[in-house]
Parts: sequence; C-alpha cells; structure tokens
Amino acid sequence: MTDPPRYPDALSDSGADPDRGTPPGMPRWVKVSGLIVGVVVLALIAIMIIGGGDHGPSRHATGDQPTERSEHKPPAGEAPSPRDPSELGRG
Amino acid sequence: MRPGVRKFALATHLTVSVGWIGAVVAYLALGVAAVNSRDAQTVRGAWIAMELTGWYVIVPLALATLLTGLVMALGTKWGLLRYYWVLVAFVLTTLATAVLILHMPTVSSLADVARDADGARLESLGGDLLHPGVGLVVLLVVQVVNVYKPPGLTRYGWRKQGEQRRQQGGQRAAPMA
Repeated sequence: MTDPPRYPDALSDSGADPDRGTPPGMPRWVKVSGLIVGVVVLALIAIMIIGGGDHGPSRHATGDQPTERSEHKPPAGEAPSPRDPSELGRG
Repeated sequence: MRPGVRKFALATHLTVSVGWIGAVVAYLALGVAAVNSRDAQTVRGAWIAMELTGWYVIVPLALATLLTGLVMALGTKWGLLRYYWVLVAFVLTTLATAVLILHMPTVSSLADVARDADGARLESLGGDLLHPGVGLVVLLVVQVVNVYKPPGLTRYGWRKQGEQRRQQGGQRAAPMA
C-alpha cells in the first residue's frame, strides 16, 4: 500500500476545501454501501425470524440430537464406527 | 514504517487476505459437493473436510488478515480512521471474522453428526453454503475497496490533515525567522 498523496483530499467528495475550515461530508459511495448493507442485514434477520428464529446447530435436528452418539450401534455385520460409542460430552 | 518493513507487511497482508478468499472458495466447493452428492462417504468426507479447513485454514487466515491489515493501517500515513475506505475495509473484515468464528462451532456439530449419520439423516444435513457465500461476497467487496481506494476523508482525518499542514507550514516558516 503506497503512502497517500500529500493532500489527497484537498477537495473531498463533498467539494469542501479544508483550507476554508469546512469538514468534509460523508462520500456518496459510503452512504449507498451502508444502505445496501443495512437492507441485506434486515432481509437476513427477517428470513431468520420467518424461519423460526433458530440459528444454532439444533435447527438441523430431526428428532435425534447430534450428541446421542452413545446410542449409535452399527448394524449387525458392519464394521464398528471408528469413534468409541462410550465417548460423551462432545458438542 | 521503513519502506522495507512496509513492503514485507504489505506482502504478508496480500498473501493472507487473498489466501482467505481462496480458502473460502475451496470450502464452498466442499459445501456444494455435500449438497449434490448422493454418496454417503462423499457427504461425510465433505463435512469433515469443511470442519478441518474451517478451523485450521480459514480461521487462522482471517485472524492474520485482520492483524496485518491493522499493522498496515496504523503503520502508514493512511491510518485506521482517517479515510473512509480504510474504515469500511476494517469494519467489514472484523465482521466477517466475527461471523466466521461464531459459525464454526455449528460446522463442527454438523461434522460430528455426519461422522455417525446414516443415509437419510446425512442427506438432511445439506451443505454449508449461506455463510461462506455471503462471506465471500464481503471479502470481494473489501478487496475491491482496497484496490480502488475510493476517496473520502473522515472528519478525524480532515482534522489530522489540518494539523499536519499547520505543522509543516510552521517548519517551513522557521528558517526565515
């Protein structure tokens, strides 16, 4: 990242000259970007609320919980799971 | 910052930030595979790989990007709060890193489920596409902002610039006194 020019914003986006003592206004690109981000965030929040509000791992649960590995028994004839079924406490 | 140190810091920042983008693209590919594949081993493998990639590649790259970005901002005349483009890049990078770290435990939980789940349960997991997809867009926006550096001084930057001008004006006047 090269150093900025000596007075890169002698005339800022808002046209204010610092020598005149007027602070620059917020550039249009910041306002437009902020608006877009705000709309997207509100849309995402609305989707979460409409979807039931559950944003954690349990939203993928379909009756059994991810931590119920101790009850998992491989079907007869299949190789056992590499994880020890007696392990508890993860997740 | 001396020019040599600044170049090293810049090279490091570019490496980790672009690496972060690449790692997210790879992560998305795994998520797409998890969604589209009907093979249980592929889905399990994709989820396990997503967990490993997330914790051991993406999270370290994100933290390194944040740290090197801070070093670049504070160590050069751009500063962290003087220009809107730096401020916007910093805020977006911080948000992306925070969401990533908060989201990874969910990925770990789902990877744990995938390890032991059977066909129907495995299919119901789907893939992790929303968070990395939105994250990728955010990272690309930050990249564009960093390259184009759109103009705009903050009020703080404007005050600092005024102070520097007054200082430099005073230094120029001194030899003539």
